[in-house]
Amino acid sequence: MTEKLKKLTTANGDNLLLLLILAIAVTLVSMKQASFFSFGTLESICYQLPEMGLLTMAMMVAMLSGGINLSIIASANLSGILMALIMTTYIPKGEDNAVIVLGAVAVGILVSTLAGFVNGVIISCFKIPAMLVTLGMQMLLNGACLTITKGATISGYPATFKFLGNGKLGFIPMPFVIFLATLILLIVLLKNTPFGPRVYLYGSNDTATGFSGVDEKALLIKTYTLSGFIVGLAAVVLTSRFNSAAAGYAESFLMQSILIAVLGGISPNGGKGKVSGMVLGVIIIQVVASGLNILRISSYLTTAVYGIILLAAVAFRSYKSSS
Amino acid sequence: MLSKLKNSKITGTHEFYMVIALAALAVFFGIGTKGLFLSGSNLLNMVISYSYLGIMAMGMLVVIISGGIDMTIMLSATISQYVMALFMLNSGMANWATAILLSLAVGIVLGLLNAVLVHYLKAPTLIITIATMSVYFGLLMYFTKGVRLFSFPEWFSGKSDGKTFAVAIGLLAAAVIVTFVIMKFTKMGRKVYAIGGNLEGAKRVGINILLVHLFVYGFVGAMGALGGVVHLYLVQQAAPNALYGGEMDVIAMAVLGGVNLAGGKGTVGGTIIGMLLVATLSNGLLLLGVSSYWQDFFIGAVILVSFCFSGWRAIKNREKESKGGKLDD
Amino acid sequence: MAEKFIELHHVNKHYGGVHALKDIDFDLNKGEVHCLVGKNGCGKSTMIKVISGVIKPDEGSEIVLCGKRMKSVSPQISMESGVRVIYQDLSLFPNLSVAENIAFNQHTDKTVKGVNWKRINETAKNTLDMMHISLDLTADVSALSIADRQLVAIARALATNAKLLIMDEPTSSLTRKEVDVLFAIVRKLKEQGITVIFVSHKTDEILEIADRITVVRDGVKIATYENNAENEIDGNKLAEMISGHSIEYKQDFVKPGEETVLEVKNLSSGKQYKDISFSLKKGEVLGIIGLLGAGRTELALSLFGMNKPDSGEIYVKGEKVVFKSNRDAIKKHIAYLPEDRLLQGLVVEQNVEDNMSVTVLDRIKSALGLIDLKKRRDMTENWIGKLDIKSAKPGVSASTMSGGNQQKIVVAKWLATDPEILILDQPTNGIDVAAKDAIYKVIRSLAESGISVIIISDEIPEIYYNCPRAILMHKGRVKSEIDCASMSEKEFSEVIVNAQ
Repeated sequence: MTEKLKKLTTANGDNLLLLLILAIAVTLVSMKQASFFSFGTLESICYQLPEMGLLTMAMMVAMLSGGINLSIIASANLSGILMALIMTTYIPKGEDNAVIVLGAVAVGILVSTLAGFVNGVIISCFKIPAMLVTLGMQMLLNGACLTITKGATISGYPATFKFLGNGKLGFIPMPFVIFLATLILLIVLLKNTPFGPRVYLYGSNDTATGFSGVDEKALLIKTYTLSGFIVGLAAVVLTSRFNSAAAGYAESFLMQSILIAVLGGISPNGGKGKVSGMVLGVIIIQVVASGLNILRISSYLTTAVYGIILLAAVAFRSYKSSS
Repeated sequence: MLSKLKNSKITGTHEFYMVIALAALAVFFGIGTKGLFLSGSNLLNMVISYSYLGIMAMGMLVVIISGGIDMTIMLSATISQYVMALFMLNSGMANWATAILLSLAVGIVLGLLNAVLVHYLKAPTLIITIATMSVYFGLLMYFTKGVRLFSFPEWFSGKSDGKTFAVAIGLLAAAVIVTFVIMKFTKMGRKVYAIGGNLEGAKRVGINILLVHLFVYGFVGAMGALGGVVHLYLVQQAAPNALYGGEMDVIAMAVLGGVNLAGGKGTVGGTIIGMLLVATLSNGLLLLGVSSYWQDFFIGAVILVSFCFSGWRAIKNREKESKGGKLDD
Repeated sequence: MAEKFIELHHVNKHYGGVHALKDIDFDLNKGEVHCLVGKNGCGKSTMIKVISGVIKPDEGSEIVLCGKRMKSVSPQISMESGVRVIYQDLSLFPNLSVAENIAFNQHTDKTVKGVNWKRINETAKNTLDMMHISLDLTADVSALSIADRQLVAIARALATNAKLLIMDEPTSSLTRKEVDVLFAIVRKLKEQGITVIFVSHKTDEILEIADRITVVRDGVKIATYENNAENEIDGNKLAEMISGHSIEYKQDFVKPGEETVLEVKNLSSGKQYKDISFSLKKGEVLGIIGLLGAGRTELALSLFGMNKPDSGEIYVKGEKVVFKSNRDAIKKHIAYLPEDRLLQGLVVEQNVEDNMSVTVLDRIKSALGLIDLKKRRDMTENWIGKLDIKSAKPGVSASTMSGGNQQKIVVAKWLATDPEILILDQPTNGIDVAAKDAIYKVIRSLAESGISVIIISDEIPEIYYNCPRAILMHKGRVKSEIDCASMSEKEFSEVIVNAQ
């Protein structure tokens, strides 16, 4: 039995296992609510999933390189706040102005990308562990959020912006379009550009990769800048769907993104993990979240459940790698 | 020649630079607040306000030396604080001794749970403790429903200057002394340094790694709980989400104090300096009239800059070690 | 008849499916220096583990330890009998002081109460005095040179009343002078009646220090020799017995071209090396030998752009170059194969294709700036075939390959960069004789095609049979240039040893 189980855990067997878990989760939830496996649910999942999907992608990129990005939520919040500020300041309430909205979005994405860039510079040039740097950055960005908002929330956005998080392109929800586009970008980067193999090699063994003529500093800076860029995209979706921005939002999402990454096969030590696994992880957690929602489990208990799932995922992965 | 070497052992250390930074900050704030910052009462109040974080930093110091990290420290504090509050409000047996003991017990149990997971799961302690943090927090909020506890019995709530001093400074001093003695003069303390420096080597010489893990995480759980006791006394209120997110402050104190995140290095003295640095920064900015909103931003910036500084020094040191000096003929 | 410390009779050991030790009969005299030699995987490590009690041999094995008969040695008995092993990685605590490392046993000994720093420092000082060496007791071990760390490791073993000291490849990173210090200590230990087992593959050192030599091959004890004037064991004979073939090496050099591809003038770098000057011709194979000298790798890294020299000049094909990083060196067609294959040479967890193509990812891009996946696959399979890397497939993890094949992957990765100068640092470290030969053939064909090769090695035969010219480095300087073609191997060996 353990032999069969071990076989299941090799490369593509990994994804098969995740599909199995997904199937079980969907079945369990469907038993509670028959209407779960319906088009309506599918559509609402396509609206909700991109938030976590994008955040997890940002986390995944950092983890592949052997690091981690603990500043993703603080960064997303700051971007959201800045976008909200620009829109509410320059667009009178109730009106719309696509150009300014686009400008705000650009600023939001830029700020997160910049934060990622700074993370990358400090990590690579001063050789400080990613955990520390991104934790410090989290503090700084949270501080920036508080300083700007003074604790208030900023809400009420023009229609163009709301469309990004709540509208549809054809029959596909807009956030899902953004998610899909980013997914394709990431897959291309990891499979088809020099960046991809270099990140995996570096994550597994930074010394040997450095000896092979790879510019370690440039690689890390690219990694964290990319992570920051994806956070910026996530911020657009999050802010649009929340319809408000403030400091301290979505804090539990940080732990969730780590959970989904580990569940999806991304090794926290670096060098391992496929995008396909990550996507399956996102879907599984989305189903679990829906299921817990249907069961009317409080959000706090949900957080505890996620913690347990993360521990289980970690246990499973370490069992697998030791065998 | 030998005296030069001795000198560099003191002046070359991280702690030395941090003391200079602390002194500089103290002077800066002293001038900026027209002496208010440096007044005895302010300094005392400052240390009292940050004493609970200092206690927790002692625990964090130990866990980082062992090569790990504990993100659940604030939860240990909150949960044990809450249990202690419930105990005080509902039991006639409550007094300082029993309350503190209960609190410590809760903190230690939470810590031992972490220890077992860290030992057997073979994954980064950061990830494991983030997971348990979520579990603890989720369960805490669920069961308490966010209800705050207050109006504690007179022996706990009756504040006086002397009492506050005794509780805050006294327990801080106790934590500092205990940590120092354990890390310098007990075998377990030295074993913690050993596993932080070379885990494989520690296994080979027969050190029981599980016991060390149990000690380390039990200890940080206890320090978290002790900090929670002081915090409860200072604010006279047990709120389940009050301390949430504060673990960075504690980690910052240890890191600013010179602890090496890879493990194996760190001193009690350095951590105290780290605590004073964070306290000084916050307190000084407050006195200067800087809104508390700016504080996180400033402290975050200072922390990042100090990382750059110590990282730079480490790189230069490594270079000097491998290349420095001249080839003897 | 000397008193025996330990005897092994009919000792067998199976690991999974492997018969690691085959009917071993071995004995150790008290107070002797006994060298255990053999190539990697021959079973000498397993023998050590059986002797020190780390593993139990199969049923039917018999061990006599200090006169007592037993089926296996338990860790307890091993400890009590004074058996101490010093592993190759030394197992020291770099973050702790010299004194604490030496006396560390006091922390783990249940009969010792508490931590007494006075007692720790005293123990450390006494042990070092007994060895007639002095070290800064307060220094962190991380600040010590490898040689000094070795001494600390030995001191640690001695501080606990060692009766048998087993040292696993202790000289792999030591300079000649440091080896002298080590051997002096070993001789002093012998005077005090302490028995020493030395595990090594360095035949010349073995011949210098051993009282007796036991050769192990494929789990079988081949022979035990007395190392004295009568027996006239020499390096070649030993090497033959270790490898099991008498590989007839002969010098068969490729004539180098006229063009000078590399010239180094007065290159110096801190305390690593000083005033290095030499030149290299096209298609030439140059040896840099130093018999365990540090300085060679640092020099190589400077040529590869990873260790900026303080002064001096480097000319590649007549053009002065200053490298800011190894990318600059690669652009000038210089390639470097690091000493530590597993840590620096390749990324073991990733697959063959990624490992092979990492150096040229920018060169195999298609029009859009994306990697031409087909080109990459073709390139990988091409190299697998060209270098005859058995069992290698592009998608397979490098961890599944043997040492020799892994080294071939590293070679392929660098050949893909079209190098004109290839620097090999200990290219056959930890590789068995057959694979060694394969690599030598590759080197020869590279020279024939006009690539200049620099081989840094400790092994006299390796330099002698591959390099018509060798530079002898000693304590960071060039001691002399040797024309290998004009002398016998014995003469060459003498020149090297005498220069130290």
